[in-house]
Amino acid sequence: MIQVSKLKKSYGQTKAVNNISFEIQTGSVVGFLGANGAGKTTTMDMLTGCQGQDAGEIKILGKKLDGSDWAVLQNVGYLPDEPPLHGEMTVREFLTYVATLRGLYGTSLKSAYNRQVEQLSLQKVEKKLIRNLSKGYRQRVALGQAIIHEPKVWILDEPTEGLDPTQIKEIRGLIENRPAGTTVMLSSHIMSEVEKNCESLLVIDEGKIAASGSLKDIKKQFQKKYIIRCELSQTSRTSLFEELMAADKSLLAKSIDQSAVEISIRESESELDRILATCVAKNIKVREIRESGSLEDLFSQLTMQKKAANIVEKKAI
Amino acid sequence: MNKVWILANRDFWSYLRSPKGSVILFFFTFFLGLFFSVYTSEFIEMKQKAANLGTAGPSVESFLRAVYMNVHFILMLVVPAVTMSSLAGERANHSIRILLSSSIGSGQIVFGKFMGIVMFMSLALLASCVFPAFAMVFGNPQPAVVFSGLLGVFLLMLSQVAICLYVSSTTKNQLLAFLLGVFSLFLLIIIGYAAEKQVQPGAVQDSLRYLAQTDHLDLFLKGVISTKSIGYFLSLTGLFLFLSYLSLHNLRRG
Repeated sequence: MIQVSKLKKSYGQTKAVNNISFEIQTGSVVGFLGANGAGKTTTMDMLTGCQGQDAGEIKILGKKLDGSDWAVLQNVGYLPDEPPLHGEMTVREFLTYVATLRGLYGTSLKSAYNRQVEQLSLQKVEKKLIRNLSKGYRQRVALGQAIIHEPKVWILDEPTEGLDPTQIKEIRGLIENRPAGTTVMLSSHIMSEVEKNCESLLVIDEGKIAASGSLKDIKKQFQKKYIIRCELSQTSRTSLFEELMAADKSLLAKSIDQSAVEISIRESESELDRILATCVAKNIKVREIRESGSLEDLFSQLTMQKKAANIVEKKAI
Repeated sequence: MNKVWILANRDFWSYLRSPKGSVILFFFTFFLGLFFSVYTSEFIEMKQKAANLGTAGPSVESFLRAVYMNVHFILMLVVPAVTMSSLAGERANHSIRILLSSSIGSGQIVFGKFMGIVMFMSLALLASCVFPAFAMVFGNPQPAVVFSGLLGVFLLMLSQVAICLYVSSTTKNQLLAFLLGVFSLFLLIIIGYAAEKQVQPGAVQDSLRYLAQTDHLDLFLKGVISTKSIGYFLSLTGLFLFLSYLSLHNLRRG
């Protein structure tokens, strides 16, 4: 189990992580989502001892991570966004080195190494220097160093980055077939992978938790049913927002480009009718109406929650 | 202790197998050899002049002392070049996260890094022993003086590695780590001269002169194994290893 309470981290004036709290149950797979710069990597760094927090508490498997005893990290495996590799070593040397640092020796080292090579299909590149490997192989070696010691907690930042579809499927299999009781926290920008791998979500936006819970519950709570794509000028765009937002402040709008905007609405036929009527009245061309069902839309909605309201607020000021 | 050895061993072989390591070893032995060659010519010339005048001339020990006083300046460039890729380099290429996210203590990380660099630099010093070996074969110096000189150079190297390792722990920028390392070592070379010229004789001048590495090395090269100088080098080494530990521990603790 991972328990985080009132975690804070600032870089100068910037609050990278702003008083977040969450719990991840033992054995679950949690998707950790957020836009670039939202605070995902900082949070993961703090959970794995790579950075200290300014305030707050972290507990991994019931033990505090506060610098008094690093032994708690023996049960943690971390794959950061930038793969931590020694390019001058071969794959075999590197994985053996990491395994010995993690306390594996003799037959346990040999079996861990062989298992990792097989699981990550590294047979062809065992004796090659890491700096000469392709991006995909480097990513797999980096994943290997994170889990070679069979930790109880996997913290994976973009584990499928740079991998081809077959390799992504293998990584999915690795997560599905992980040892019983292994907790996984993974972040990814590939929403389809998050949907396939994760049972629950944790969404961070500008250093704060925007949503947390099971995937099903979050979709039910936040998901909008319809997405309408309109083509309009700058003047008609602002007046359209004002009118729509006045009626429904939870409405979400996203600019596609200079002349197009997407509007997301709740599951409501009457609301759809109202918006379409407004568009007709203002002579706004509706190019597309579709049902929203993907995690991409949900992610956009959760991270764009404030932005549509801000457009009208700025106008009011 | 085992994890310290694993870290040290990895770093040692990494330096040894890298092109940079080969260049550094070559640089060290080449320039020391250059000084040895130049001083040998001067020594022979002075010996001949002295023989013509009926005097003894310079001793082999003083010749070796002159050669090894220059090791200061060579180490001033070599040690920062090695240590810059230690903690600074690992932070820059993110491989430090392997260590920070493991159960290895900050002290073990620092000591492991220190030992890896010391092992590599000891290899360089060992290679340079060919010069006093030549002197012993052809010049017959007192072995105790030769041993004392080498011990002094070794202790000097330990303290310089510790200082530059600390500098490396404070930044992700390898070039900055190198420049600050060179600057710090240069400061410890000239502080004695500066104190003599700029400060009035007294407690302050004595304190500043005590900090000067050249004075302590000189004693060893003269064949004097002083506990004060041993204490100086070991204290300096211990102090900067502790500061490196604090630097790394603060990074992990926040």
